[in-house]
Amino acid sequence: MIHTKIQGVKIAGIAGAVSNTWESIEDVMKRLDSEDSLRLKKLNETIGINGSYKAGKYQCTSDFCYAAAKNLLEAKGINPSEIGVLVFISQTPDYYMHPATACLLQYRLGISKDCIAFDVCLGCSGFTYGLNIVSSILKSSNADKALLLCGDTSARGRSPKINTKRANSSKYLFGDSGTATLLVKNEAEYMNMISNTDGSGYKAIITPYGGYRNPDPPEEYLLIAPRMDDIPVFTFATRDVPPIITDTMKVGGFTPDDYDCLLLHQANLFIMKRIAKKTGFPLEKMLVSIDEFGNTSSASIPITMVKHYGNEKAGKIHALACGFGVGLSCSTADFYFDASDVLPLIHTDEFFDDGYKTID
Amino acid sequence: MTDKEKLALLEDTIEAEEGSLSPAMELKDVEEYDSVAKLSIIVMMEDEFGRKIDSATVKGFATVGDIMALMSKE
Repeated sequence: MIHTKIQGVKIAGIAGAVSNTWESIEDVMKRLDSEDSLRLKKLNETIGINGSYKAGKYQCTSDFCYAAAKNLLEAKGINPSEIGVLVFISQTPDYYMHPATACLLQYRLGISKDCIAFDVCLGCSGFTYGLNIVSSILKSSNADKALLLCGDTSARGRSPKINTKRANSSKYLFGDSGTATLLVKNEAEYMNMISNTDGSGYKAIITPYGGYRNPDPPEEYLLIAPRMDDIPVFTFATRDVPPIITDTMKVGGFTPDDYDCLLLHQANLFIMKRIAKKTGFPLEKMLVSIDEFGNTSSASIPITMVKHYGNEKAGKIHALACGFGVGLSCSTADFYFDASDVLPLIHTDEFFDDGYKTID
Repeated sequence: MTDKEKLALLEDTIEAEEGSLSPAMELKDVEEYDSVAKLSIIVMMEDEFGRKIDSATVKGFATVGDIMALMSKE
């Protein structure tokens, strides 16, 4: 078990951004024939999505993270020059190869050149991993403030086809968003985190073509599309993840009664309920955002915080968060935050013009 | 557990009509046998029989009887 304890770093702000385009499950069903529409309705009773926000044609994850970060810095009265660390965690960066999207975001946000900035390629476990990475760097550097930017536009580029008979990686499952988390040095606060990796499950969620390993897809694949084998993902999530959550409670000496909320990656409601049951959390403490946002990958935990605490004025919250999925990768984080530090949801249709695209 | 009880439990698990399944039925002909049904069977095997079946086992199921054969305590 790899346990990280960070004493002296606090989550001082959270913001999340989405587009203005919300597609309901009914909208998706209208595009299907009646048989597929009924199948999707049944499938969705288990998954629990009412709809999700979709990025505009030219919107990238970084555009949502930019809007979230900009609003967060303004709301907290922080000058961008105070940010010494910027980590962007996503599997949908601006460019396939280079440069790192974090470098563009440093520039776009007007952050000083005296800044550690880099990308991390993780999905569903990204936010909790990011807390570990960013707080570790803050602790060991002279930087006082950091931005953790997590998000994905997983719905972009996915097939709109619905296939309920086999592994399903359909567009309808996913939502597009970006988040920003402000971390600051604060001696009174601590976080407990556990990380876990099972790379033998690398095929469970994979985009096999388009990278250096297999640059060109076979002819029968029209898209360089992601695919998901739902059974290995399900067994990983419901068998391997609960003991990691339980271990996180143990290292802090806590039980579910000691937490205000359980913040799970929003994979699907069936998986989430099973994890809550196996770890002894009542369903009232398991916060849900998949209903409104779909599966938002690395953004799912902060987006859940925005949904539930974005309009709260005060209150210290003790949270146990767990991100799990593609890798296969899992990480937990036990932390406190103030509900008043969570901003209401931000909507934006803006995107960055890098000078290379031909815009319709 | 008798075969009748196993069929009833399986029907309940995959939300098939009572009395609609029989051991010889091929799963490709069972309309309710979709991706969610497979996950529900994994949960049922774990909760009812303490059996942790994996992806390969599920992919190997061809008939209702194949599932029933694993419906017992390990």
